[in-house]
Amino acid sequence: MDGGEDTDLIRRVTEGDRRAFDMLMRRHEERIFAVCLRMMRSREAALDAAQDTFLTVFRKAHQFRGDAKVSTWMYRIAVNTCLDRLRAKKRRPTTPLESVPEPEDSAATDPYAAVELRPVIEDALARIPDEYRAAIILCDLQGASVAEAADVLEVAEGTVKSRLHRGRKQLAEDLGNLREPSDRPRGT
Amino acid sequence: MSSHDHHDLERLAELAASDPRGPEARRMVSDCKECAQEFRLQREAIRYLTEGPVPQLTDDERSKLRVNTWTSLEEAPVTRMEPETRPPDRGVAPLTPRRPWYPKVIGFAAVMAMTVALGYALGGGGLDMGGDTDSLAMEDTEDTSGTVPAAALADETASSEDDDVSATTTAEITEETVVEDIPAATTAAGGPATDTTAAAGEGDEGRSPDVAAAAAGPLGSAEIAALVEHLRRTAAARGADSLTVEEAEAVCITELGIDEILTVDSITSGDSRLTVVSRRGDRETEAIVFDADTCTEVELPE
Repeated sequence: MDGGEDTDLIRRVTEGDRRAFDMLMRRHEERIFAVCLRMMRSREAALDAAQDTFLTVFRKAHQFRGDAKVSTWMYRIAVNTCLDRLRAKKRRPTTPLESVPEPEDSAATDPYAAVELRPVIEDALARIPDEYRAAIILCDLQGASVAEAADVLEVAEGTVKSRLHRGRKQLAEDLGNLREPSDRPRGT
Repeated sequence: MSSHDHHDLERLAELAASDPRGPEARRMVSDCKECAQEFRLQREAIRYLTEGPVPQLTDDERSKLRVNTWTSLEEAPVTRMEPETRPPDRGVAPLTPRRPWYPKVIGFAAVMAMTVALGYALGGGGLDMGGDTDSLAMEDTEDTSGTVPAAALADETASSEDDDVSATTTAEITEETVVEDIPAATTAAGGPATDTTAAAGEGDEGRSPDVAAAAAGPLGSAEIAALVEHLRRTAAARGADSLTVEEAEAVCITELGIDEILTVDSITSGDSRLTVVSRRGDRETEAIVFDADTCTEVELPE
């Protein structure tokens, strides 16, 4: 996707060219949203995270040094934005249930409005630690290489492999325990 | 049983995604039950994950994302980055790009006013030119010094009005201009804007230096107000129930207080026809979009 075009767009963004930023956003919005959706597990939250991601891209465009691909840099921002939001959510004291009505979970009622994965898989993915999930999302769902994921997550490649291994193992065991044998993926 | 002491689970995880049927993976799992079990779990997890469709933004979500992002940027601009331009079309298809019509109308009006003034001077001022001012049109238009070959200029200007301003409007405005006499401020400063094809481009050598000089600047509020008033009277004189699009745009431009205009264009957004005015801002060219029917500024939909 990069091919120098993204780099040129980023350069123009640093010069204040908003048209370039708009083009950059259009080129990456689907992928950024996909990453955010899988991390956040809610389309609304994913949209918010994607928006934050693009705002950060705009504001920190001058910090992009060209060491990595623009897309990698943007993924990094997206993943870190999601991780920050997830951590904040965990730190935030929960509101007593009786004081606020629980909003209806669209994912539970409308399979087409839900997150892309089947709910049972989504739930299992949600139980994986955030850092493991980020590695899985990047490599297994977004098709990034281990090296690219390491770039995005700013960890060593070995760490990515380790997180992939542990995350997948937990996911498979979780799903294996939940699913009937006939419901398992073919070919396993 | 295992033929190796160390299970390289990280490498196994990598191969499970990158090259699950390759020789290295086969070798690692062929003679080690632990590795084979780990490998099976890794592959199973990957298959679970990849059996769903790739998530995509709906049109509404895409629009919301873009609008909210731009809104946030507008609300909290980055001080260190001075924006050059507004975001592009945002999904709005241009209808028919029009060159600015105000410069032509006002430039033409100025010429006509000068024609009237010159005619008056020649006729009532005691100079005997043979009584036929039309003969002025035959004079040498290369003469740019001193006296202005106004009729020749008017003739040239009229012949150049071949595309944007309709024949009817041109005729009406011409007629009204002669009768009502455009205010002095308009005739003095009313020149074409940045569109060089409007009036300042071709044939400048035959034009009044004042008109040619005025070609460089955008319209000020006084000129626009005078033009709007003129258009109102024009519409009333011909008994029109409603203003033309151009007239409605002019009225809205005044009501919205837009000056320093550079260009005026029309676009369509859904079923609406919108007017986009670019104006010279303090530091950059600004675009203002409004509905000429209601004179309300609108945000372009994503």
